[in-house]
Amino acid sequence: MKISYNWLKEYVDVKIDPKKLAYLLTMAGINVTSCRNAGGDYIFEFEITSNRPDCLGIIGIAREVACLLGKKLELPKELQRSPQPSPPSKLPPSPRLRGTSRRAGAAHSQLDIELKDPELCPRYTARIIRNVEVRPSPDWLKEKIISIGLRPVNNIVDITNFVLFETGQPMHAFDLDRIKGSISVRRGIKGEKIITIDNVSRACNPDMLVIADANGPIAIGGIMGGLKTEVNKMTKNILLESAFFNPISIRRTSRALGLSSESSYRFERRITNDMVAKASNRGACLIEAIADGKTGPFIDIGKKTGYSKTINFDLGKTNKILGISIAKGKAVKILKTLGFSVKAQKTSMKVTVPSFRGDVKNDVDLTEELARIYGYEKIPLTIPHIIGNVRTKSLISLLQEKISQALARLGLNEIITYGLISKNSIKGLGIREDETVVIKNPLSIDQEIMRPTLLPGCLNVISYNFNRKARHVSLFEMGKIYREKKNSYIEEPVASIGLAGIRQGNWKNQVREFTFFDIKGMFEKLLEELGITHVVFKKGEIEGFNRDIASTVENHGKVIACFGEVDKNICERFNIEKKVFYGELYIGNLLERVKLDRRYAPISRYPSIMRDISVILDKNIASSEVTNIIKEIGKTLVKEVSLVDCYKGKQIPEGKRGLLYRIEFQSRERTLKDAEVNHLHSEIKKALSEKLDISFR
Amino acid sequence: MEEDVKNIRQSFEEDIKTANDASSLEGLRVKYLGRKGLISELMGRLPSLDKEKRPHVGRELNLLKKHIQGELHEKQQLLSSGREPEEGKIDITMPGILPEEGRLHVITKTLNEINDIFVSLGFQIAEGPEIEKEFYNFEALNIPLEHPSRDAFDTFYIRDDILLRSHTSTVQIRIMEKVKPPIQAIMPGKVYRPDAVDASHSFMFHQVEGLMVDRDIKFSDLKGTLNLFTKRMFGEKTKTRFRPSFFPFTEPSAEVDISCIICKGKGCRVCSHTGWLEILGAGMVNSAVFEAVGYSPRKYTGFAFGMGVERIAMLKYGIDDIRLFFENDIRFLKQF
Repeated sequence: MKISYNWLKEYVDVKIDPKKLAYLLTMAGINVTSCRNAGGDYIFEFEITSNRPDCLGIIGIAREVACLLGKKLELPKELQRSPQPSPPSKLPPSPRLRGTSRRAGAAHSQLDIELKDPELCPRYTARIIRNVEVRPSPDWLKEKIISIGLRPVNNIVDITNFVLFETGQPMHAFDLDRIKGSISVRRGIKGEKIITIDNVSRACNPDMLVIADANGPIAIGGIMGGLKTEVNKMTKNILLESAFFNPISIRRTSRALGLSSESSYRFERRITNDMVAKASNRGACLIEAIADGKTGPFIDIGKKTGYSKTINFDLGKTNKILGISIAKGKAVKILKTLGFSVKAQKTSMKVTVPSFRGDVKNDVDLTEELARIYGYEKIPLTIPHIIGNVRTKSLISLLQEKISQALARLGLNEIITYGLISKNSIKGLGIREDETVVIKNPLSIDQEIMRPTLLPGCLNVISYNFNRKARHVSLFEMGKIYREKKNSYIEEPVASIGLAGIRQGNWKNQVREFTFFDIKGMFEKLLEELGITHVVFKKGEIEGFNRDIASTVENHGKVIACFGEVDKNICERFNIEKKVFYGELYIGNLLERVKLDRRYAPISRYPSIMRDISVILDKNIASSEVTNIIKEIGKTLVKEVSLVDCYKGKQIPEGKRGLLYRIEFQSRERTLKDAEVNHLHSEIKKALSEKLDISFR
Repeated sequence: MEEDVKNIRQSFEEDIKTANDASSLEGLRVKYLGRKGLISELMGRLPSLDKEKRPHVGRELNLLKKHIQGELHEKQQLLSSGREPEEGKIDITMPGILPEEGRLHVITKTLNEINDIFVSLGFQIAEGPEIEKEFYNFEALNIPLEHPSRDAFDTFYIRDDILLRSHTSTVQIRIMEKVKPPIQAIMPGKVYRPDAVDASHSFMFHQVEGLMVDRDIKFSDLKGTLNLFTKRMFGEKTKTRFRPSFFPFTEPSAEVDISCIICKGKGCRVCSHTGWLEILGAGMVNSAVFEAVGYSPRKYTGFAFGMGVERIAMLKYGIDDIRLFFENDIRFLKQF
């Protein structure tokens, strides 16, 4: 909302530098977002929080200014006292009074107004003003209208806008002669239509309030008037409406129509009922003065009482919660200048809230009022009596942190991708549709579902980077995946790894492409880091992966991870031509197995002895079978078995492969003798040839 | 004789240094190990030595022979593998071999920094679900249905009563439902709002929520705590200012600004020439919220605050487009 400094001065005697005033207001919670020099004037732009609709008019702002500067608020006389509705005797002859309805003398005959829905419109007032001269506004009014960022239209429209910005009370002027029959303030009827003044035809429905005449709606109550009854140059007689519309109903209608106006904005935030009649009076007086009109009778139907509340207020409690000590006299003065009436008693005070401060409901609200005027900056800085906590992180967040650090150490860069993805991106991954969490109101097709896997996000990033000439992409993500199960929602923490392109090469070491064993190594290293032993890598056909190049990782029968080469077709869908190796670690399944504590293991004082063993075996025999047998026979004396070479070629028969293992023998208790190792070594060979179809080189 | 052995060793050490190709190595082999070479020659003279000295000199001579053989072999290996001939002769201007390293995402890094500061102040870290009941996101936080205060919190819905949390304040309620005061916790996490993506908007981002509840927690404590935080996060010289504001779940409420870290408060484009940057929302927990979780507002008071992690990272690292965080360009990721 924009407000002119010169205009503001009409209500409060303020002389200070406008920039300084902007600062004072901001620091009192009336946020000034800019203060601009405009010739002989300054324009303030405000951002009013939704709890302060009273500040959506210049008078509300003036009241704050008066309080901050210790000045008096000066109101035009029409706004000081509510006008009385015209007594029935003043109405034209034989007025028909029906329930909640009243009749106003119209230009030619009579006008009945019936308030049919006091729920959506608790109060409706109208005033007939005859013989107006519609013409451009005088310069002073035009200037004011321009200063608040509006466009002058004609004197009548400008006056309604003037009053709206002055008081915060929206007004609407109808061309009285275009109203057919009586007026009914009612809910819309299905099938009814209205063309609003922005020249758009809008369908009405029973959820919205309309102002209707005999032919149908002439305004959408509180939101926008109709074109048919719009005031124009030819208008002679007008009906000036000032009402209180139900905030929730206005908000619903405004949202449903996608139509928001200065009026609806204020009605949504709740206007001050006390101002309804006063503002009407103010408008009428201005119309008489500027547009030569003659004010007729005033009709006022519905609830007249405004918001009222009396609060028992304990200043001691307020001082305690703020950590300050405001003196009683000062507190009373602040509250009084804000419009509250205060009756100070011995220990507490009785504070009566003015009708325009519907946001103040209890003592804490009053505390806030005192705090913001007293000044937040004057509240001292204190350190709370620290409670402290024994356990500052849950095991799961500790674990996630540990995993992230480990993966970064392995040369992977962390990515963060969106939790929402498109339905299309999980095609071919074997994810059950009934388990995916679907968003009802996505903004785009990229936000249709909550991700059930981190793979699409990873592939998008790989594709993005390849498109930007990256040749080496190695990533990880720490995030959640989401599933619906029997109407409950599961959020599971997962770590993902993605490798694509070449391993980083340099002038000394040759460049090569990532392979399955690169990602396997990462998982091995990671699991070791987490202290997870007894890990079984099982070849698995996993949807979304190359059938032959994928593995699950099991620990005590639970799948804790899976990884492999991503199916070519899926990569193509993400415009990736190169091989992608991807894996996920299911952190939730690890929690009980993780061992982050380390204990020192004594280093053997006795030398170790190396022996190589070179085998030729059938391609179908897994390498792990060989190492398992070696460990089984060697028992505690085999410290380590490592695969040092794998070869095919002329010397190796078709369908076979050659593997070279290096065995490190070592004892914790003694120096092993050559003969002993030789014996063990041949025992191992014997067992291998007995159990497996194997030969030695 | 022993002197000769020493001399031969010395001259070999000199020769081998300058032999940098195969032919000069062969020359050395002939010179020292050849049939008529220096070693053979001495070997030939052995019988003429005293019986006592003979074994000793013989052994020395054999060692020398082995040494020369070894050295020549090693040098040959070096030359044939194309490696650098000598440590002393490398081109030290060639680039070093960099170890492969990965980086944590700048958001993770920022989150860790924030968490660490609060942990050092005795706060505990807690988390809550992203898929949340509408009640926790709104009603429990004193945000009534169909109220303009909901405008700030547009939300993604999954069902009528299930949504993606639009702020981490939901976790406040979950904690307070679970435990009795004292509470001192921060709650980091992802939040979602259906905003069209541009340089300053994202439909997903990260927040850190803070909550402290006990007897006698004061507004001045809130100021003191956040003042400590901003100084540690943005530097000792950072000034903090509290401005009255409105949030349904706190009262009194405040926006917390820090002096602009770019222009040091003089006014620049980043701070819209105000000298201040808005980085936190905060306030005393609204008694309506206490009532929603069954705490007695007469017994307890508390403060809460919330901040956007992307905003803090953008300010701290001078990042001008929020989309960079989620595009994950490696050239971006590697910078932090």
